[in-house]
Amino acid sequence: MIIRFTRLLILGALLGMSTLLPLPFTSFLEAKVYLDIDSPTVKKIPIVIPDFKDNGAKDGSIGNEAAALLMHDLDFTGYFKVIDPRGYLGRLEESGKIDFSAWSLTGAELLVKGSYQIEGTDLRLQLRLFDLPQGRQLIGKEYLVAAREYKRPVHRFAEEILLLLTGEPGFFQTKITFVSTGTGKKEIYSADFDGNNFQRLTQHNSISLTPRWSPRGKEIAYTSYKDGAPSIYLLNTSGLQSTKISSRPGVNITPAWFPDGDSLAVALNHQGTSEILQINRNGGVLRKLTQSWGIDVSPSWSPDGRQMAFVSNRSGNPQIYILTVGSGEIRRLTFQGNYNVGPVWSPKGNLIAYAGRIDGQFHIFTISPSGGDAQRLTTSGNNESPDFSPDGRMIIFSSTRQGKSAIYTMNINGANQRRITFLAGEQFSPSWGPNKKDP
Amino acid sequence: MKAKHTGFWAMVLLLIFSSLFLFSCGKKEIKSEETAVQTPTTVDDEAEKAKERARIREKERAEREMRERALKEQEAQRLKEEEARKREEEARRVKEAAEKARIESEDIQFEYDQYILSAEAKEKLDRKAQWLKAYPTAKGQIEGHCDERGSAEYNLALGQKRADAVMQYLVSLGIEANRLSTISFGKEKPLDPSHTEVAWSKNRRAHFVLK
Repeated sequence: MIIRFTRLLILGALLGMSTLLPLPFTSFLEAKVYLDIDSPTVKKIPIVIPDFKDNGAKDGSIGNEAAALLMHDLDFTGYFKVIDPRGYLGRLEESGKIDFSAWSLTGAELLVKGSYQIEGTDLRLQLRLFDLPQGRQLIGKEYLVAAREYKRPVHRFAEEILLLLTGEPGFFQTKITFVSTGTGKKEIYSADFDGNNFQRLTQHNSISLTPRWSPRGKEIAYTSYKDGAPSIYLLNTSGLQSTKISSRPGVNITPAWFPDGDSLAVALNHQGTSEILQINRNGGVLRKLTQSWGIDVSPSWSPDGRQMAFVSNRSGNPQIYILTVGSGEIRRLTFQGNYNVGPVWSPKGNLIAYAGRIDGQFHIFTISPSGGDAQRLTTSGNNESPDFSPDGRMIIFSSTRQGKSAIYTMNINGANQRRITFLAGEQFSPSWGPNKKDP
Repeated sequence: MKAKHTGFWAMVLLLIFSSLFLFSCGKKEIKSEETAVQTPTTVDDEAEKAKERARIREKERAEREMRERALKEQEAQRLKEEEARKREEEARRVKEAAEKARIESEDIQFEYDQYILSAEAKEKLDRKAQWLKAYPTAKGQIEGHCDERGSAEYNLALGQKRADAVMQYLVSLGIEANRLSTISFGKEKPLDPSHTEVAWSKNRRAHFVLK
């Protein structure tokens, strides 16, 4: 599979280059800004994706499924309006010829055309993105994979489209982790970014909480009562072995990966003292970050590792504070409401998301790390435990808006809220894994 | 011939009685046997002796009855005492179990988002301390719990604070710290899973598990 994937990348890269844009990339971007994703009301780009055509004229099911998957990926981002390709009233197109004006009449501004051949057990897939108003190709790629892995090149092409339009590749090959009570016990699960392909990772028959995917994607840090008292464990996501790394007296909770993935901040609470420590992957203490006689909990690092947001009740109720690690200076970030918890720092560094309680219910907020400009993003149910997508453009969280707690996603401006888990039991405390680094 | 016969039967009777006496009494009967053997056998003597024997038999029976009655009375007394002891022991056991159950079941309540001990909480803890002093080998684990309204993460720390506050108070009353341990369950193990003020106040608690 690794060999196959490498082959996919090389082929994709080589053939992608051979069919690159007719104009240099920069002048294209200057010519037209497709997505101003930082604007509060993003205008969705209309895109049409007809079924991919089988050049061998055999079973067309892969073509239909692959096109549907690409539509699903792009729709998930909230940046696209996916147009029904049956609205196309133009002539049947010959290979290589595209009737741009007929496709424009569907209302679409972008068009993806795909074609493929089955070669033994392999799939050769060609995908092209066209700008309809300008009548030209923006991206062209060819992929060769095992046919049963047809989803990979589709996700990769979705990344190409996102990269071109937003400057970020999106998250279509990322995983999420969360807690589910499907078995009657709180166990750790993983799933694709969209909630598909869920899998139970632990079988502790205990209480397991707050899974956090490591920046390198190979481990999940979490808290569990599996050996009695709440301790911090690392779960190897390939072999599913669990290693206990912190079981100091009292509670060992809320692990937060340092951006380099070599260490974590964890909250300890025992005999009246509360501390947030930075520990290495074996549990050894690197430094003490905070100490108080109250409660300090739920750390989250800034992307440069120089600051750490955390929750403290030092002012009487739970509020979010920011520690500047170098100077030891601590400042209070949130002043609205009397219960603000679960801060998480955007990978872009410019936002902190958290859960704040209003009228007895938690809602997701974002705030700038300098304070001010708090935005409430949710309206109904209890909404808790936000985490950012690796590109910083989406937030995953848990919500009880439809009854039992389930996992939801939304854009950072609160648009595009959708439920992504439909499992037995309740789901909480999601964490969004990193984009896999190319080999 | 007749006399010989009579003598023979007398001897037989004597032997029977003497053996009876031998079994039931001590020296006294041996003496009477000697007397019987040495005394010449006449009809009058026989009558006297029969009387005497009847008297002795009667006396023996009376004594036996008395002994048996005494034994029975003794046994009854013993049973009565044993029963009383058992009842007492059972009562003590029940009382101890009830005390232990009360120590375990009487949770320490907290105000919302607080870990300060109220006067009522301290009263309950004073009783627990007394109990722990009365049973110096007993050990206790203090569980800290929260209601469902806060966040799971913050409540894990809050539960620990509650357990710690209870332990510190007991230690201040003279309970050895090494007999006590703490664990926080945050909001993971509510006593009452319903979503009401009553349930929440029940769930904000420190709970004792005695070992």
